Amino acid sequence: MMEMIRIVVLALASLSALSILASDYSYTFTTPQREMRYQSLMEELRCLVCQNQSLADSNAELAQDLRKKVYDMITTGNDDDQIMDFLTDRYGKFILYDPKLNYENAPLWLLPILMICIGVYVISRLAKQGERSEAVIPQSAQDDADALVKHLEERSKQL
Amino acid sequence: MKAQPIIPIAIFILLVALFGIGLTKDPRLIPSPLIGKPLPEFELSLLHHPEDIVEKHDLIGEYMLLNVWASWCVACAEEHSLIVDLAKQKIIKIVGINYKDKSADALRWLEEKGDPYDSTLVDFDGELGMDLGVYGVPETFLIDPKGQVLYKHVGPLTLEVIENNLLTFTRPEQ
Amino acid sequence: MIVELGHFSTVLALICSAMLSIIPLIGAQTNNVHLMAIAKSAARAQFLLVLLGFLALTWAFITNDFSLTYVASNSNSSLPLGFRISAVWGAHEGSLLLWVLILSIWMAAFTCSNNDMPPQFKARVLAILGIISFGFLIFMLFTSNPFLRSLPSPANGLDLNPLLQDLGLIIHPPLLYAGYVGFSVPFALAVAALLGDGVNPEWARWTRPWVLVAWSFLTIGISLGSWWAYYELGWGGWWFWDPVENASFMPWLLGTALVHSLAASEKRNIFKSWTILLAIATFGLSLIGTFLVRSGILTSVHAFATDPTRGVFILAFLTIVIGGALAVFAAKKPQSDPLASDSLAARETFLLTNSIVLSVATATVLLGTLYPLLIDALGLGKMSVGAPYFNSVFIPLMVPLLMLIGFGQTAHWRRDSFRRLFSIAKYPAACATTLAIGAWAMLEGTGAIQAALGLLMAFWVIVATLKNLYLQLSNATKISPVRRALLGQSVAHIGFAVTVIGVTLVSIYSVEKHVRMSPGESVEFSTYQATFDSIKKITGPNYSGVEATFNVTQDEKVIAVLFPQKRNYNAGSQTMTEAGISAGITKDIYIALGEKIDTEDWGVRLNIKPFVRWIWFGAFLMAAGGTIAASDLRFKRLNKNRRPSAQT
Repeated sequence: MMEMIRIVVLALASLSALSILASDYSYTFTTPQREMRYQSLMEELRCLVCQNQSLADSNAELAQDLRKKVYDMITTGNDDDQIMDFLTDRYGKFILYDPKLNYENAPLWLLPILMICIGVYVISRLAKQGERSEAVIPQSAQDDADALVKHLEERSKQL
Repeated sequence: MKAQPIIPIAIFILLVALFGIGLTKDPRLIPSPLIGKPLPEFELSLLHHPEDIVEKHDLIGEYMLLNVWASWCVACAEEHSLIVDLAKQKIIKIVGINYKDKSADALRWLEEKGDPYDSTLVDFDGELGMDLGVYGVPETFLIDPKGQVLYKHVGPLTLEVIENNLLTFTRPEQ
Repeated sequence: MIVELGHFSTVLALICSAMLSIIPLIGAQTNNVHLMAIAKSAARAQFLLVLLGFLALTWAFITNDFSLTYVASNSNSSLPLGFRISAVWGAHEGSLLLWVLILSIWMAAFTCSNNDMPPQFKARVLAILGIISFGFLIFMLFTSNPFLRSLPSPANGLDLNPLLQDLGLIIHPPLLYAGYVGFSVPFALAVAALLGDGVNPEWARWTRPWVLVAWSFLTIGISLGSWWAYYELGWGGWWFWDPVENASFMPWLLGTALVHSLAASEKRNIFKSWTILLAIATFGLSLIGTFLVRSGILTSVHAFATDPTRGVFILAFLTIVIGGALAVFAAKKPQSDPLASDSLAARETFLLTNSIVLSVATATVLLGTLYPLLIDALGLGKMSVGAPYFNSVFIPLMVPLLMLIGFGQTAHWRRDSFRRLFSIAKYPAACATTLAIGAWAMLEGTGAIQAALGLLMAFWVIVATLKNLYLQLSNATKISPVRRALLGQSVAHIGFAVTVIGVTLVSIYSVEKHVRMSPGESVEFSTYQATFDSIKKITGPNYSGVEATFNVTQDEKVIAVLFPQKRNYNAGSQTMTEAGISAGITKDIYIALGEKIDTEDWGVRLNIKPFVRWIWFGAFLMAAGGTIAASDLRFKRLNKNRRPSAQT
């Protein structure tokens, strides 16, 4: 099993080291919206070879191929949903970095909200407890305190 | 502030259970969404006869293995002898897909290592590979007579995989 | 021979840790002074023995002893000496030894702490640390032993992964571990408290400096990792929400909550159970992080070459240590205290909110990191959770945190009023808003509002902190001198704001351009012009490659000349990109080579990274603040006339 894993990694590495075809550095778009769509899609799609990089960052050859594919699809007028469907039909939902809200990943979004609600609840209980009159120190007590501090300061100066 | 011990303990137990299960899984393997779906359409030339074009309907009709390989792929060399042996037993038709390779290199590679393939298709720009969701060669697909994808294996083949996953159709239904 | 001595020394250390785990605990239970005294000697002996083992392994690397499998896998005779030494911790086995060494250093440091801790308590703390050392030493010696030889020995080694051949490797892991591992001390302090007299302000006073120092190390360690990734990986990213990064970030988040919760425990004897729980959970996350990195259950660029059997061991160890601590917690839970403040505006509330926000943040990061694993475990396939998710949940949580810092640090304990707090806040708020509007006027583009809001939060924290510091300084008297804790706190809070400024600006205003260039060509990016001057071949001690020269100009004036490289390492035949970076206070100019296209042309990535250095400078300030606070005199032995702790 370990051997196999090592071999797969080797295979993937050899795939990424190669670059026969021209790269994608000369992509231009007809409208700035299209360019922005391309950029944001690149951040949201995961490279399957270098699995910790987005398509924007990865130099793997498969990433280059996919960038070209997305570029082609944008230029021929496909919208973002069509492009993502195309990719998930072939590579599965693994390729999407931003889990679109659906039943499966609802917990990802619901749990933080739930936790915040619990937190707010805890604080509101604290509020109920402490909802007395806001502290106002009577002036006489304040004067006494000030006098004491002054007295102690003078004493400490003498030491 | 109160902190009931049961909550952190419960969370901890869940985490440990999750980690335990996680140890049995391989995070790098990506399951194929093609399982149970038809093989994509394609139009590719043959490695040995570049002037001939092969399409999907030419190929399907019996159980077969599609083996995606390339001459530059180190791991493909590792599994190749197994495939050659398998071909000799004539259990199943094996079709090769030469992925993003130079044909001259591919032909030479097959000459050196043996050619187990019924036919080899040339996927020069990787279009079929992309339609198949290939992300790391070698990959092998099991296709049924109707052209449905039954199984996909990523990485070099082993005897175990061949026996338990790829040749299951030869056994009678239980 | 030396290696064998080192190996033997490590085995002796294992025996020491075994003794340390058992005898002092018995001594503490039975109040036997002699047995308890063993703790100190055993801990120090363990430290010396582990150090010897570590030095022996280092010696093997320095002398190129390739008969050791570990040295052969991670070094090479042409590897420069500095990297040969840092290669000691370049892979799993050696880094485990580093882990144990750092734990032993912390233990030895604890034996030197001369304060008024009762001997049973000290003995218990050391014993718990001993148990942890024992676990790691057994793990290392039996499954991941760096001292093993393989004969016949190869002529040369496989070389250190080129990504690791860098200054970053020399300093990042040791400092990160110092933090990570350092939280074992508060953990031990917490469990020892549960086993003994429980939590009280004295315990909090003892614990706080340990937490602060560990936290400071962890802050530096994480920011070094970020900086290293930035210049080493070649595409200008500084945080990826990678599982291993998250593994170090989560203890940091909870550790921050712990620092604040401890303040309340010390001052007002509240949040007791919660503080203990935080101490256990923070170290628990350190152990979970160790597990995630070395077990292979998550994909990560950082993960060591992994082996699920190792994962089983770490998981078992983790279960015993944390499970044990939680069991003790359940059995001996400190009395839950009533919420002891009289008003909502009191400092207690702010600290409570701090704990809540940071805990939610930690839980969210944990959720996002483990969610793909959960889905896979449930058989629902594979999905990815990446930066887009983390950013969208984490950033909104930071906003209330930043807002509250400004108020919380001024609030009185027990009793305060919003009216008073708001009146103090008027001037800083106005100041911050003015600055933010000014900044907004200078910023362009669709992100300007977002950027201005982030800056507003940061300015608010800075001005409010400065004002608070000024107020306290002007109120200082001989009776209640301004303590270093206050100074440290202020520096740390400002540091946090500085990091926020860096993060905000670099996230919104980074400019990136990919172009294909041939030598002689020029290209415009942002307000600059970059000219691909020339490219030449280069060779290094263990690599060969090319180096390009880029002239960067702005309005005809040369701003920087950069030399990005592409290196091919001989031994492993890996290709590395070394970016050419012109670092600046207000921006970095960052150029990296992509792939070669055809015969002459290259793909080039050009980046402008505004204020990116502020991220790490802010982290440095945070760590500095933590250290200053830790050195506060009140943490040392109290004088005979016990001075009550004054307001901070």
